[in-house]
Amino acid sequence: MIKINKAGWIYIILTLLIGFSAVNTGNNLIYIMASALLSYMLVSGIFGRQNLHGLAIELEIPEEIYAGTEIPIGIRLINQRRLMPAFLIRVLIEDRQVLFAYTGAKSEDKSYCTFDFKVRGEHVIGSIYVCSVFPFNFFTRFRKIHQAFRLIVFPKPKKCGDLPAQDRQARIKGDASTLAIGFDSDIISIRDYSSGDPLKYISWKSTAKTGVLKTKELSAIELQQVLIDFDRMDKRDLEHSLSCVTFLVLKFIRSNIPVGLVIQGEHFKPAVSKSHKINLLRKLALYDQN
Amino acid sequence: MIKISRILQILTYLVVVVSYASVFHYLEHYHSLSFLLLLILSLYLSFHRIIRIPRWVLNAISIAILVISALAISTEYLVEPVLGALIVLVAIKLLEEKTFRDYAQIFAMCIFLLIGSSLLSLSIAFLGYFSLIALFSTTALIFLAYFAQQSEIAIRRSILYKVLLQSLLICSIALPGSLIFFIILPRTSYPIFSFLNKGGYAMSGFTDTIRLGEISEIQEDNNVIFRAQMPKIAEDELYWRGIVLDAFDGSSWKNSGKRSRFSMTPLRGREIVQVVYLEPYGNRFLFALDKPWSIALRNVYISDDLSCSLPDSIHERIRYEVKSYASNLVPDQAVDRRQYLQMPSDFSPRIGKLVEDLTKGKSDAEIVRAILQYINRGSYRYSMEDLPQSADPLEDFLFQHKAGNCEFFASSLAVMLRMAGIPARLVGGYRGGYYNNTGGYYMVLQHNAHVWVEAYLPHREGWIRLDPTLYARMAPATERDRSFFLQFKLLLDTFNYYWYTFIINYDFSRQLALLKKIKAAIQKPDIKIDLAKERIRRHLYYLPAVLLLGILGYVAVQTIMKKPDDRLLNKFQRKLRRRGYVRKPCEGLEEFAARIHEQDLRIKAQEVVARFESIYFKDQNFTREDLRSLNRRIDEL
Repeated sequence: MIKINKAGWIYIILTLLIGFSAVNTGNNLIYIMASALLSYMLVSGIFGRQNLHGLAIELEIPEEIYAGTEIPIGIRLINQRRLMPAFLIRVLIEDRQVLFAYTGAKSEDKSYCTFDFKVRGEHVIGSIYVCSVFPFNFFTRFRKIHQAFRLIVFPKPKKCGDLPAQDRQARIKGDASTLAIGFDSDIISIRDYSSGDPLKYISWKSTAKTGVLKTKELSAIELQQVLIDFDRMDKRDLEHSLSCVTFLVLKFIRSNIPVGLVIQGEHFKPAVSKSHKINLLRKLALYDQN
Repeated sequence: MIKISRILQILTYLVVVVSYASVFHYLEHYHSLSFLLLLILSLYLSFHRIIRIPRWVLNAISIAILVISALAISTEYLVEPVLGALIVLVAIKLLEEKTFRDYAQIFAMCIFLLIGSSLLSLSIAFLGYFSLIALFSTTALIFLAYFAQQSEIAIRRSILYKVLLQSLLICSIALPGSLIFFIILPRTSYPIFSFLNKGGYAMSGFTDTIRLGEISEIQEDNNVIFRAQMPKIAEDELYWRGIVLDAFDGSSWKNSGKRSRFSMTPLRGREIVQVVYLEPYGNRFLFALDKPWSIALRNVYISDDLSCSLPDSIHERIRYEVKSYASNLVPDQAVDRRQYLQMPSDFSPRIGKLVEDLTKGKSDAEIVRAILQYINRGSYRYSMEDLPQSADPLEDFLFQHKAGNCEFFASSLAVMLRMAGIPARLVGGYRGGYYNNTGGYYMVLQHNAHVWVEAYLPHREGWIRLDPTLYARMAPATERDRSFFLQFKLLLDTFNYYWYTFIINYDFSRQLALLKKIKAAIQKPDIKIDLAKERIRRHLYYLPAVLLLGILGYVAVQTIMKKPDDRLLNKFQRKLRRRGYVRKPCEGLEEFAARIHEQDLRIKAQEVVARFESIYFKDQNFTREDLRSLNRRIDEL
């Protein structure tokens, strides 16, 4: 697919004009100019076309993506050509674009692009194009990358005061100071920062000392085990409920409190592992979706 | 990291400077001066951004320049003021804060400047300017594409080289590729705006010598030699006088250069005024309707034989006004009979016998009539091919070949008249022309070149025009000077010749001829295998030499391409090998140096190693000074 840019139109008009002048003056030097302009147009077409060949795109999608939250997705441009570098490649993904100024032959380059998925559920990033104005910014050539990337967007975590689960659990078990990690009490340890940690818990002092982002781990008010029965929850505002449960799941697991979930008749036993968390979030994300 | 905008700026200046060089000769001084001043200012401002000139100021200046240049434009002085204005506008554009659009405009204007130069000169220098501009603008346009995507983008030096390589690659494909378009682009025999072309055509020679028997390309040349603005006149009056040739040496005619005193009596006849636009054709003679009386042009010399010339050769299109008298007679009361009866001694007794037979006991007028009749009614035929080329071409023409071009007809008549005692001379010029009713002018082409005779008849008290050929063309003569410098000049001129032959003179007819050739080649492929084999065999002897050169070149390139540190190490090891110490594989340099028994040598070697390692292991580049000092130390080993 080719789009003629404004400069391209001017180039075409200039070529026609010079060609017309050449014919009507019979001046062979002007013929040379017209010929060169045409030749350049052809060669730029060939180079432009070649510039988009042998390119592959890979997306580095984070494991946890929450609706309504900006996340960076890594876009890797792989130049599979043996000789020709890739110049000025613009990768268009959905309505975003990233520019790769230069990618050598048989090498790759990576850049990040921020995405913000508004709704939970399964998303397919299928509309990926590589385009380039190379070599002369007269024409923009596009090539569709026939590759689709599936990702699941978890519900947006929302802290809700109206959910009975937390109260009920609290009432049954009662609050207790514990060594479990939470955000409520004293510092237990300092660990490496991981995505999703609130900014206010970053230990700037340790970060400055080590040069690596560090997060303070505080002791939590103990809640022994939590089972969230989503099927029995009020679903008048489904998205809201999903958001609240997502928030709870994240909060409990971050606080090292095993959390379980009953959803669509499926029973997930309480646990704190990462894979368990992802499973729960996937269930919540895909709830009521075909 | 190098900023793209900076590279773009440098390339733009290069394109502009080359464009300026291409039109420099044709610019008025004030245009050149303004351009240079503005260029220097813009260069200064691009490095020291002390002030920013507002766009409206620059626009106002641009408009003023356009108006001033427009005032200088006339029909005869059209291209130069436009080019002058354009070059100043380019310089003004350089002053502006440049966006993609501004750069694109600058490049477009530079292309127009080059086109302008092509209207003024067809010299081969164009090819140089064109190639340079193509190379610089290709590179600039690639960087401009980067600039358009992100104006502040910066790239690494290694990437810069890669982009430069790419632009070279594009150029090396696109420029030869344009030859294909050059050959196939449509052409017409009747260009509308050809008046814009001021640069001379490669007119093959209308020279001041006529050599009998030489075939001239002028006969096939369809270029315009001049246009004469005037009312339409009868076809038989269309004789355009150029040069008068009076000295005959048996096979060629020349202008003797003898200038008798100006004894011409005023001409009689109908007065015809022409404005002639003469194309540059490389000689100094001016053409005018026979018989010219006065020419309004500086430095014109009108000889008493009515040939008009300038002191120098004409290398640019000129315009002059001529007053001619349409008359068959040039009055002359004091003709130098010796000059116009000159013949080489012992010239062809056979022709002498013929003349004697034809003219015995006849008056001058009868002699003229008799000889003219002999030529016109004889079985002589006009031909441009297979001309007589013996030692005595005229005798050959008159008695054997009986075919020749207008030079043979005119020479025969003039020679026979001279032999019969009637002063005669040859007049070279053009005959005929194509009248353009709309424009009111005659267009005279090179192939209209013609030679006729003027004979002096005492009873008419003047020279009368005699044209023994109804329609003929003239062959040019070529210099045969064997001097070294001329040969050298001719050799150099070969490039020009090919430039003019294949590029400048490539036209519709040649395009058609080429197409026919290709068609014929496709229909009847003529594969000359034996010939090709022979050629290959002939070149086979050169193969070892070429291979040897290739190997030497490869070694040289490898040596040059080797990193300086590798070269140093090699030299160090070589030197120590000569002293009996061979570095083992995987042996460290310090280890190697420590193995040396001689204390003096060991210390020196260790010094070299220490110095080398102090640079090498710190990832520093070897400066010229480092290399020099290390080399010196290694030499001392």
